[in-house]
Amino acid sequence: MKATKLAFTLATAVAFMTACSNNGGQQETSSPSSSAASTDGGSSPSGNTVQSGAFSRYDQPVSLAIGKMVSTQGSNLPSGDTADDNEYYRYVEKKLNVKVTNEWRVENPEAYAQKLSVSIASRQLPDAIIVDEKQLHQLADAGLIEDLTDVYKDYASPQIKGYYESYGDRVLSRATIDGKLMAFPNTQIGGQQILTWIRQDWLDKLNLQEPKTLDELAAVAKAFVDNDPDGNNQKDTYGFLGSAALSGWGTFWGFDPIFGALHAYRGQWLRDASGNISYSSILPEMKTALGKLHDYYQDGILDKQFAIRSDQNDQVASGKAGIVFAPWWIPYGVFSDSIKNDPKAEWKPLSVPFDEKGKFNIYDQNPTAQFLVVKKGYAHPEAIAKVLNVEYQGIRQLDPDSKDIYKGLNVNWANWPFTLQIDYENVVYDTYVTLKKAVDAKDPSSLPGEMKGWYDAIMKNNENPKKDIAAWADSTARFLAAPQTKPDNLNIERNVFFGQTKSMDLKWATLQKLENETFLKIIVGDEPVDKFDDFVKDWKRLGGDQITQEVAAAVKP
Amino acid sequence: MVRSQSVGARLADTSIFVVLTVAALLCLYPLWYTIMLSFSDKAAANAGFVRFWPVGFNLSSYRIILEDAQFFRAFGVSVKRVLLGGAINLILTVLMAYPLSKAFPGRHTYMWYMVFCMLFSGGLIPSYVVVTSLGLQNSIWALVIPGAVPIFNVILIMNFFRNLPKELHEAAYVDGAGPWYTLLRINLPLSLPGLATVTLFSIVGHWNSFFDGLIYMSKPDNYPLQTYIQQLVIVIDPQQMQNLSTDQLIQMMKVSNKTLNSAKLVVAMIPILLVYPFLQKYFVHGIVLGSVKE
Repeated sequence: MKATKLAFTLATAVAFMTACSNNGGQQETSSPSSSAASTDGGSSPSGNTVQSGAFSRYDQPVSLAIGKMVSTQGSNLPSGDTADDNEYYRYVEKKLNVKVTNEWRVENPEAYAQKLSVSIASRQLPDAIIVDEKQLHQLADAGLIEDLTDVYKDYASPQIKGYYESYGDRVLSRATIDGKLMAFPNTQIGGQQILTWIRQDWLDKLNLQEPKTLDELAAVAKAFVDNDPDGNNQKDTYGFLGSAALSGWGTFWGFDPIFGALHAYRGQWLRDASGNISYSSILPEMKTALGKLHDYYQDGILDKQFAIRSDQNDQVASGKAGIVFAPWWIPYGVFSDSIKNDPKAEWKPLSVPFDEKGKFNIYDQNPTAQFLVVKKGYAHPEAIAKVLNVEYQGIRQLDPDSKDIYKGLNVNWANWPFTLQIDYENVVYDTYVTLKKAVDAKDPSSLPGEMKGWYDAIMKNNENPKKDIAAWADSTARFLAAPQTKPDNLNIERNVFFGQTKSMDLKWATLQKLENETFLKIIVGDEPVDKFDDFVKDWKRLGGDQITQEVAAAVKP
Repeated sequence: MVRSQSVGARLADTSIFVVLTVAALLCLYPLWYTIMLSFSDKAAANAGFVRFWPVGFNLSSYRIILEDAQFFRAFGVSVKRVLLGGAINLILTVLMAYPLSKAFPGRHTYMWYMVFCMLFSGGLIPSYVVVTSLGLQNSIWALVIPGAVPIFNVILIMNFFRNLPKELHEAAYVDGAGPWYTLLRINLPLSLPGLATVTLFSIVGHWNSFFDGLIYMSKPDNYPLQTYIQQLVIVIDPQQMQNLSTDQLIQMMKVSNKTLNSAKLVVAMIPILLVYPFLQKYFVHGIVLGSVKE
């Protein structure tokens, strides 16, 4: 009895601390579950039963078959446990009496897409599955999935609701069709913008200052090309690398920082001062930006072969590149190889170049792209919400019972039943703030499990820089780059529309292709910069105008 | 071979020899490159330092493979598939080709039926529905039953049988041999080159196919080797990346490992490289020469 009481006290304490530390400004939605329950209770008279329903255990065993993607490489599961049967699944079963089984499971996104298409086409869906936006609409139109409006209202835990609410209605509205919530969407956490990573050791060697504006950055790039920063007396280094995809979230080497400095944004639906909706790729700013890129290409600052390379990792890993456009988490990838090949490499993340007002401009990230749906006719749709509740109590270690599962093994979280990432929008930055406090105080005792691991990595790397590559990656991503995800001078252009309109189904692919090809041709000089004006005309004529109208109608002022 | 002595002819010979050698080396290089990658250091491989020789020679990739239970499980599935599938293919091919090599009423109907099925198939989804509703998914049978009769091979063997001298069959018939006896003692021994060819087709086909494994097996534990490898060496295109969550992307990046994947490719090539030389001698020429005096 005493033990239970103690456990409960601890649980509350831990829950409170995690909530505070994890979420910075969002205490009111997330912290002690009691307060959230009471806000809930205000709107519905059965506030308390709602609260207990979210975690209540079934009397009879309930089975839940899912399909999922989880890489078994580097999952760190102890031997004996598998992606089909592990402590996480057993924890969920213990808490809820819901037996989750993997009806099918694959290793990577490509296979997942194939398997999922076959499942949908043959109408052999598992009870719950994660689909993309297009499939969500298809499935909803075909009446193959359950309406989850009431399930969400009555069974989603305050924690889960808090995550969604941190995005306003930008996430849930995307899963709402004809006023009904048809899925639990994932949330793409914020702070994924493309940063400018620069080799500090090269800057030092060439006696250059940290660049601030675009011209300064271009000057640095030119110096990196011409002045032999790697000191091998050969002109074999690169200024800017580029991607044939040009830009976009998650596009390594994308030109987004350059575009941003010139107020050009690619592929966004923006609302101008007078309230009109326009497509950002056809605005005059884009023409200026393409002209700039073309100049860089002419001058040899931009890699001459960027458009035909399949893999720019080579240039980075071999130490031939000093400027890389990539998000905060790239240290986990190719930078690890770069450091290993050349321990002198000193990668530094910067939110540059600024525009003329000193702002670092980015555009809105699509806040959701994956949707957890429930097969029509599944007997316990609320079980999906409950499993998700329990899973996230476990992942965030709000429940004391979950704290010791796989302690210190760094098991891949995708081994939980649902691989649906849900978190507060600012989690990357807020995690950094918490970490920094602990590092400054040299006291990790208040940190929850995952952060404790990063704390140890930071300490380890501070003592012996770059000795342990994994610790270096954690330390660089979480401690050096994470603060750059929310610098003081950040300006986010809000995209007003992420979905698909009717005409897009038919015409969007063509327009995208036209856009991408024209932009590439302009940059490499196959077409003059003025070709941009023809492109705008063509774009409008080939359906762009119509789509713009549809988007305007869809978002209404 | 008689060598021509004129300078022009020699020059032609030399240049042909050089061109062919270069072409052959070009074919070999990707193979060589993969092997060298597998022996190299991971960071060097990702940086593109590897050209002709391993950089930072080490065997760690092979050590990891030796400890990878799933690799060997997949290897086992593939071996089972090749033995079972190869045997079924061979037996059914012979049993189908033998009667069709004789003239009988309705023979054309059978032929057209087969050729039609060879050229047109039901497509992915119907095949999938049939296989799953027969309850075959997750069993080795899902991999060997749907392609049990390789029609192209049947046609090949049928033509081989028809080209056997008719006199041999007549002689056997006169000596009292029935159809089964003729098939087993006359046709099969004389058709070894053809049988070796189609067996090799079957083996290579079964060994290399990955897509059915992906579709019909619901767990990676049941994957045959090529499906398992295909899952590892895949490259995610940027379009798809935008649909992945950050955690998934970080996980994918940590997993990507050129050297290890090359080592797996090399190990997966070994069985085929071992089988090839033993079957190749049959390709060279037929062996019916001299069995009949005209």
